[in-house]
Amino acid sequence: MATEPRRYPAIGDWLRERLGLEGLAYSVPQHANRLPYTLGGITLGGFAILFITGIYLAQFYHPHPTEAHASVVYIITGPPLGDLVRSVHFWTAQIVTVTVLLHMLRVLVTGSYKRPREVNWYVGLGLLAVTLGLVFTGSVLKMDQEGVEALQHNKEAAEVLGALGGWFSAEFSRSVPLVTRLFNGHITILPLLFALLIAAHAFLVKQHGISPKVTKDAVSRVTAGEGESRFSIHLRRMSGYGFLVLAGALLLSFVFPSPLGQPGVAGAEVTKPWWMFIWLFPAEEAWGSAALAFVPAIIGLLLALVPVLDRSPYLSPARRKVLLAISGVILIAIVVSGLVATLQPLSAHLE
Amino acid sequence: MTNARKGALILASSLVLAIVSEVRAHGEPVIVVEPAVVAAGGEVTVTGSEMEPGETFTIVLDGTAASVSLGEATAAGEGQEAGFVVEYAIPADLPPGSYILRATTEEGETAAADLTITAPTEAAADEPVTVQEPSGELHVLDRGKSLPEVAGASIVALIAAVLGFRLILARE
Repeated sequence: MATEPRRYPAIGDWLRERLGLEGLAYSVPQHANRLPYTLGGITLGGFAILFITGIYLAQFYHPHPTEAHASVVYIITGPPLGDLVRSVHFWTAQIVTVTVLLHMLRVLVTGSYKRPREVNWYVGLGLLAVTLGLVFTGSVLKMDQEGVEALQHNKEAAEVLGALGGWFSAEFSRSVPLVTRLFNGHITILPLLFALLIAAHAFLVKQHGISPKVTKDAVSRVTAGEGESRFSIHLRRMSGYGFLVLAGALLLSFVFPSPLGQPGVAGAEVTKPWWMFIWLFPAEEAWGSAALAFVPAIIGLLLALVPVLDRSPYLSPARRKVLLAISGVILIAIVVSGLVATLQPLSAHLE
Repeated sequence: MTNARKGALILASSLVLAIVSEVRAHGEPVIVVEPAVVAAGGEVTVTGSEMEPGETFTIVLDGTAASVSLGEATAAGEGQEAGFVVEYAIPADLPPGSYILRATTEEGETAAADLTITAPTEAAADEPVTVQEPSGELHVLDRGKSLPEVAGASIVALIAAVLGFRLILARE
């Protein structure tokens, strides 16, 4: 007996038909659903939380040197959920920085930057730079002592870059203070760049497919349209991890609310930067504030050279020992540098 | 090694050397203004560093509404460590707003810092501006949450966690 169509279809069916969601059920390899291959999606979920919480915070933040710190105090003490939303924004930024770095490390270890995915590697490096730019500008905006010191370091690094660093100098605009322009960068320029780059990133992943599973003899190739699983399942798991990021950020926000220091005083150095920048401390001691510009530039350049230097098609780490060993040494140097700077008394840095 | 790889290596080395040489040649003058916010009629202290001994800088306050020359300062000291510390009174009739305090030599070397000028106050006119001591301590605030806030956020966290695990662990 033929069944009649239901008069009121389920909401899922209704959405599937109207939005063409069947198109998302294309084939992907099974390993695409494993956690290491979902780190990019987790990062994207984190960014969604950052955009939503950032919009709320922007309603109360005053991006002027004289008002910024007081407006952050107001966010914490005044608007409904202000402290919680700011803390979720802070903790999600920390989580996103971790996941984006782990994502890059996974791509490096599994050789996912190899032909034909070299361009996507560069797009990914752009996304890493934008992420760190968002974190840095965000850390300055609160204009507490740590933020003011970060701003001062920013100016010094900009001077080393000359014309390239012009936008970061106070001289760039007579009518708008630097911190106001950094806020503009934080909420307009960098998010726009992020949107363009993430669209390109996703498009290229779709074009090439997920990098093949790493085995001893696996070679890099296009996998689009192949696989036993479906992208809709990958998307579901990505969303699941995104919700866990939100739950984790909320939990951390309750236990450790986002810190705020005393109003910043220019010309002093009595704080340390956040963990993602503190590894530069020893380099600054050795080579001066210029190191804040050239050390990241050199590391960025080395990362950009990875697909140029490693052109064999093999994905297995066992077949790429030299590159991974050099990468490991650099990574260990960064971690050790960060630990030394964290444990070192601040006075030692200033001597 | 292929020609393409050699070319890439040469290009990369050149870029690294270019960056390092730029860094080694640094020594751009730096100025810091304290306080960064001052009422018209108040005083600021301008500290210059990383200057050549004997260099004379013209100090100008630039804004959209006005531009005022505050005076000159000459760097003293040895080697690249020369600098100056000078105090200037901000004209009481200067309109409030955002300014750039610029130090420039005749050779074109320049350093700049933001300065925000607020409306003049009696205190600013009568007393020197006190500079707040820098502190790495946290700003102590009441971070307590109301019961509805705690309940609402807990429910959102719980729903997010349950939904998250369900989506991750759901069968294909």
